[in-house]
Amino acid sequence: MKNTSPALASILTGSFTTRLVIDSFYGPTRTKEDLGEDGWELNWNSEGEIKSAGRVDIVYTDDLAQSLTPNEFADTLAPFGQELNILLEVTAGDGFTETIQQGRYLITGVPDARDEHMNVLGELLTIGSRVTLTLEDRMVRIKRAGFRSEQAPASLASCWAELQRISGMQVIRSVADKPIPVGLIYKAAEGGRLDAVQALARILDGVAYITPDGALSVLPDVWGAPVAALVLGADGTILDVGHSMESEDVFNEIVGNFQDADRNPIYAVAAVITGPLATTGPFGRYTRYVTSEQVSTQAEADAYVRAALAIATSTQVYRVPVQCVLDPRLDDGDVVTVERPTGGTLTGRIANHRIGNDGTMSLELDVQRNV
Amino acid sequence: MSENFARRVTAALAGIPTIGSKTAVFVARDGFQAQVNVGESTVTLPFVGMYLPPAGHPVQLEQRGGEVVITGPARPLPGIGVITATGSPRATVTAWGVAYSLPYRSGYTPVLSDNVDISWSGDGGVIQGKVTATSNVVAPETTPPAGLRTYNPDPFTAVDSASFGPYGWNTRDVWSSNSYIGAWFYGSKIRDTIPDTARILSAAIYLNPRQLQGAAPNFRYHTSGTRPGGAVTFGGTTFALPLVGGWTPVPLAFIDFLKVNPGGVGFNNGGYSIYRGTQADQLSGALDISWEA
Repeated sequence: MKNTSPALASILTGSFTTRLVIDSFYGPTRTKEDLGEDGWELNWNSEGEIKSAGRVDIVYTDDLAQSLTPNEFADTLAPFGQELNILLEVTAGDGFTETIQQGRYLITGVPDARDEHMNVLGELLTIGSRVTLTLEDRMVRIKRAGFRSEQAPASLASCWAELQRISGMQVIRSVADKPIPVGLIYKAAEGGRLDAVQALARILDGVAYITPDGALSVLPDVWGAPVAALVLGADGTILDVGHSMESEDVFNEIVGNFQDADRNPIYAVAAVITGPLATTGPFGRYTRYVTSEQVSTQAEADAYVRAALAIATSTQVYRVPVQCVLDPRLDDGDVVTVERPTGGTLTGRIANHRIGNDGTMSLELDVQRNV
Repeated sequence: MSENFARRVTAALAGIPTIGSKTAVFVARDGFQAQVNVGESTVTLPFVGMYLPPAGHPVQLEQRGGEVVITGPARPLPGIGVITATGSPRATVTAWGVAYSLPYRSGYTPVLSDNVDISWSGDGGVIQGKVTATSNVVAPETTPPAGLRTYNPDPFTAVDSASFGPYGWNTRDVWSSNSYIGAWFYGSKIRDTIPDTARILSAAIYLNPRQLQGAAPNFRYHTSGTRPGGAVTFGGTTFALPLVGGWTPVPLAFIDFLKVNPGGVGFNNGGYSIYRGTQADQLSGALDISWEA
C-alpha cells in the first residue's frame, strides 16, 4: 500500500482525473521538470526478475526550439543512467489534488523518437519532440553490475547490512533481520549480484523488490492483513472479475540434493500424500528438484524441502484477474478483498498489476487454497 | 530476445537443471565403471576421472548434455600422514585430523611419529613409506577483506512534509515562521540504510522555496519518521539555514543522529520562509548523503 492521505480513499470511489508528473534525473541532478506525456503504461510483476517496468511517450516543445531526442550518451532522455521519477496526480472537482509516487525508473531503451520540424526563414527549427521510453526499475542496475570475482559476505551478522553493502542502494528494512548462514558465496557471473540479492532476501523469507521511491526492500512471503476492499455497486470500482486455474508449477513432490561441509551427499524428499494433490491421486506426480548451499545437515534438508513443498502447493493454484478503476494506492503484495458478482467475497494477494492512461487497472490476485 | 529464447530451449532440453551437479557415495568398482549410492538408488555409472576413491567416499556426479558421469572424488584425500599406532598387517595413520587404518608396503616397518606417504585408489589406501620431511611450499598471500568503502546512493527523498501551527498540521508545504514549524519525514530508510558506525562525509538537502524572507530558519533534526499527531520534537544544535534554494549543505551531526534514530529534519520557527512540500515537488527535502563504512 502506497503512502497516501486518508482523504484520497473517498475521492477514488467517485469521479476524478489523473495525469503523470514526470521529472527526469541524471544522477542527483534534475534535468527536466514535469515533462508532458501522450500515452503511458506501468506494470508491476512480483514474480518477474525486474519487478516493475513501463513505457511512456514523452511529448515536448522547447521554448528555444531544441529537440529532446537523445543522440549522445549524456542527453536528457538517453538510456545510459538517466532516470525518470513518476508521480500520479489525482484531481477531483472540489479543488482536491494529491500526487502519489509511482516509481523511480531507469530509462533502459528509446524504441522510438521523432521530431517535428518547421522551416523558418530557411532555418530548420524543431517545434516538438515525441520520445517513447522503455522504463525499468533500479533492480536492473543490480542485475547489470557484476562481482569481479567470487566473494563471501563481509560479515555474517546481518542480511540487511549485506543487502545494503552489495547493492550500494537505499534499503528499507521491511522484515526482521536474520544472520547469514555459512556457505553463501556471491558469484562472478552475469546477473550474479541480482542472484546474491535474491539469495539474501530468500534467507529473510521474501523476495527483493524496489519500492516506489527507489529503495531496495523485501516483500515477505507471509500475507499481511487486507489493506483495501474492491467492491461492486454504486461506490464500486470493479469492472470485471475473472477466474483462472493453472497447474503449471504446482509441484507435489520436492526432491532435494544437498551436501554437508565435507561434501557427503544429503538427500531429502517431501511429497503430498493426502488430498486431491496427492502424488498417488489422479493429478499424478509433479516433481521439482531443489538444492541450496545453505543446507548442511539432514534436519535442515528436511525442513528445506518441506518449506519448498508448502510454497509450491499453496500459491499459484488459483488466480483471479480483476479489472477495476485505477487505484494508485495499491502495490504488489498487498492483500485485498474482492466482492464477487456471484456473491460473497474472496481475499487475495496482488501478484501483478498494470495501470495505464485509459484510467483502468488490471490486477491478478493469488488466492490461497489450503491443500 | 531470441538469444534468451534459445537459452531457455536449451535449458529445457537438457532436462534436469543445467547446473546439475551433486554428490553420491562410492560403493564399489563394477568392471571399469563405478557403483554409487545416490538418493534412494544404487546405480552403476561411467567413471571419467583418474583414480577411484576408497569405498564410502563421496564422489562428484555431473550432468553433461543429458549424460550423468562421475568425475572423481568429491573431496581430496591426504597424501602425507603421521603414524599414530603401529600394528600388523595395518598401521594407524592420522592425516588432516582423521585416523585411517591402512596396510603398508612390505619393505617398510611403521615407527610412531613417522611422516609417511599414502596413495589412494578404488582398492583402498596404502602407506608407501617414510618421507624425509613434510612440504615446505609457502602458500601465496591471501587477499585481505575489502576495507572501508564510500557510498553515495541516490538522494533519500522525503516521504511526507507538513507544517504545524496553531491549528495543528495544516499545509503540506514546509513553513518556518514565528507561528509555524515545518518538517520533512523520511520513513525508516535513512536509519535502515546507513550503518550506525558509518562516518558521514557529506550531506545536502534540496530546497525549493516559495518565499525567503526575514531571519534564517532554525534548521534542526526531529525525532519522527512519519507525521505524528502533534508537533514534532526537535533536537540537536540549531543551524541557521542560508536563505537559498537548490542543494544546500546541512550539518553532518544531523545525519549522525538520523543514521541511528528515527527522525527527519525541519524548522523550529525563524524568519518567514516557505518551502514547497513533497506534494508540490517530489524532490523537496531530499537528502543527498555520502558516507564511509
